[in-house]
Amino acid sequence: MADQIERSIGAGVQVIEDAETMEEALRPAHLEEQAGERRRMLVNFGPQHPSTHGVLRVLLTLEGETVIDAQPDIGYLHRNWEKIVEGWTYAMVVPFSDRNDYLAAICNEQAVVGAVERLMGIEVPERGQFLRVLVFELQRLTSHLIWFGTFAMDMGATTAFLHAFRERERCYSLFEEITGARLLYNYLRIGGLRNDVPDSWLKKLEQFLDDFEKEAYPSYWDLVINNEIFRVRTKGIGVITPEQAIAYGASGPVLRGSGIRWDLRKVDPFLPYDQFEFDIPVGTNGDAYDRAIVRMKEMMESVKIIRQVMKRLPDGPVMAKLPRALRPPKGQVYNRVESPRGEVGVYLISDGGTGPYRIKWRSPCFTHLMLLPVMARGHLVADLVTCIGSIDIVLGEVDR
Amino acid sequence: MTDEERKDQAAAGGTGGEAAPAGQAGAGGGGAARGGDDEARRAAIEKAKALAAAKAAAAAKARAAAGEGGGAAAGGEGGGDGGDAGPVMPERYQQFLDALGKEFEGVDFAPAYNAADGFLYINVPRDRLREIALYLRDRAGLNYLRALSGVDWMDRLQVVYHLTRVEPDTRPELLVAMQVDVDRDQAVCPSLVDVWPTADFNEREVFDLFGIRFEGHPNLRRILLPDNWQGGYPLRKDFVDKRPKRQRKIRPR
Repeated sequence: MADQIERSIGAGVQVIEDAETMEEALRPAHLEEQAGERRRMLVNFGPQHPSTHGVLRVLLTLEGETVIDAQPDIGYLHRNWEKIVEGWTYAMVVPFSDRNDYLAAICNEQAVVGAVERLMGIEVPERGQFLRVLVFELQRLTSHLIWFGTFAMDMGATTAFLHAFRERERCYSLFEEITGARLLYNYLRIGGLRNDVPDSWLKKLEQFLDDFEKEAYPSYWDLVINNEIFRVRTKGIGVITPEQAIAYGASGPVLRGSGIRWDLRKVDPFLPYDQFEFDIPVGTNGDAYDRAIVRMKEMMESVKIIRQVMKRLPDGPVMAKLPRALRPPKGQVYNRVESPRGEVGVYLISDGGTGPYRIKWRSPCFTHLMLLPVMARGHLVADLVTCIGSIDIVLGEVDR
Repeated sequence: MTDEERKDQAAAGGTGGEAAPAGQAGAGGGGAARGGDDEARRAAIEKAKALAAAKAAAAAKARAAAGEGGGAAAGGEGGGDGGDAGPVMPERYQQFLDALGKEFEGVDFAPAYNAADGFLYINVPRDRLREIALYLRDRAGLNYLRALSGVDWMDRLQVVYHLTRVEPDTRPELLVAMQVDVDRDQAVCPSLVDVWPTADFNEREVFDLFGIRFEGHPNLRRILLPDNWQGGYPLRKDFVDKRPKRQRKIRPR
């Protein structure tokens, strides 16, 4: 019976080996005693499902409409990024890293570029560092905007999606002006930035921030977050306790939603973040609502940081002087950045050549998916969608 | 040099600052770094070291003047080659190592402090991995598994665990990375899922891509590759992709 099931629905289901009927075989063993008389159902959720944010397949064990177990099945977008970049030059790795978390390309670039810079001890000029902070936070803003739109859509609010994309569109136009691309920028270089930004661009950015702060942002709260339906749908859903968050390696808004004030920008700084003042919002209950509030407040913190950068932007070059062929010394380095989704880490091993010997990509979304069974257990199927939305996954990064 | 390194420099006695001028020297001297001219490169590094030492002294002075705390160890210099020459490590790491050595006598940890990322890399024998992991979690307080990576060193495989402590609003004191060597032909390693649950998916990934079996893992199945994959372990260095090449479709104009 076990073989038969594996053939028909693929591996990934824990089956009871000596079962005689299909139904009995699919009953998760650890839930046996509390199962009682209720009938269990095994349902494929995804991979082609609009609420899975890409190609995520979740194997659901249901009792009526209640989720008993939810096991994520991933790998549909797997392209073995880590193998492909072995033997490439470092400059080639940067644009390909954009494709991992395609909603926060700048953060990926900083993870790769920072690793090489740490290994070689390259010092980025001050203006370059400040501009990196600026685009980094603008990227966080756009990423959270997409999360806001899609998360509201997960719960049936279509309007919020359009509102979020209106602001996101302006952000992308700003990005396009300085990098030439709208989504995958290839803007950060080892040792600095590809090009400087003109003053006129900074004025446009200022205008955008003013509009965002005065009109768009308050409307998000009125439209969605303060809405009673939204609160009912998110409060108490997908609770992650602080102990679970740490044990399962959660980071970013997921960790902070559980009440742990841990942000790499503060505790493990990578860019000159300690020169700027900003708060780290945290939740208290660790449910989907708290994670949403953390992200909403982070948007404003990003705006605050961008304003400070613009006010104190020093003059000077944005790119350090470097030899054409970069050969980092032999060695290893683990570089980490706080992306909108959590801790993105690059474990780079160099053998002294022009390209990496090995790169490991530590992906926050991949790690957070482990929490999906923890969050979804005992909830309804509709709340599973809320759980998936609240950890804000990008499947391009999960599968790498 | 990122900001963190600048901070590390004050703590570690200028290890962060050491490499920066080396990069500049490479830029200025061109051929010194590029051509692999050892003598010239060594000279450049020596020069850089002298510069960095001066810089570190200045930084330490500035910190003292500012009245900032922190266990600043007066420091000499280490090699820039990724920590194999052993740059001076902060005091707290030495205390950690002393305690670790006392607990596990006879184990050669071969500690190497890496100034580039602030991690202390230690070698852990495979047969004592579990007890050392439990010690690190419960006694040394490293409650957070940041990353679990596999590495193929040609003659052996290796699993690297990057560990830290997560505590609200606190800079992590210890950043420790365990390196566990695994035999290439008999690729078996104890599972740490019950120590750090983060290891679950990560061990499955390493199993999938490197072929290292994690003994004791409750659910060791493929995670990224297709379930019917027969092509070997892609991240091993001797991997050859045997799949037929895809035909490129060229659209007629």
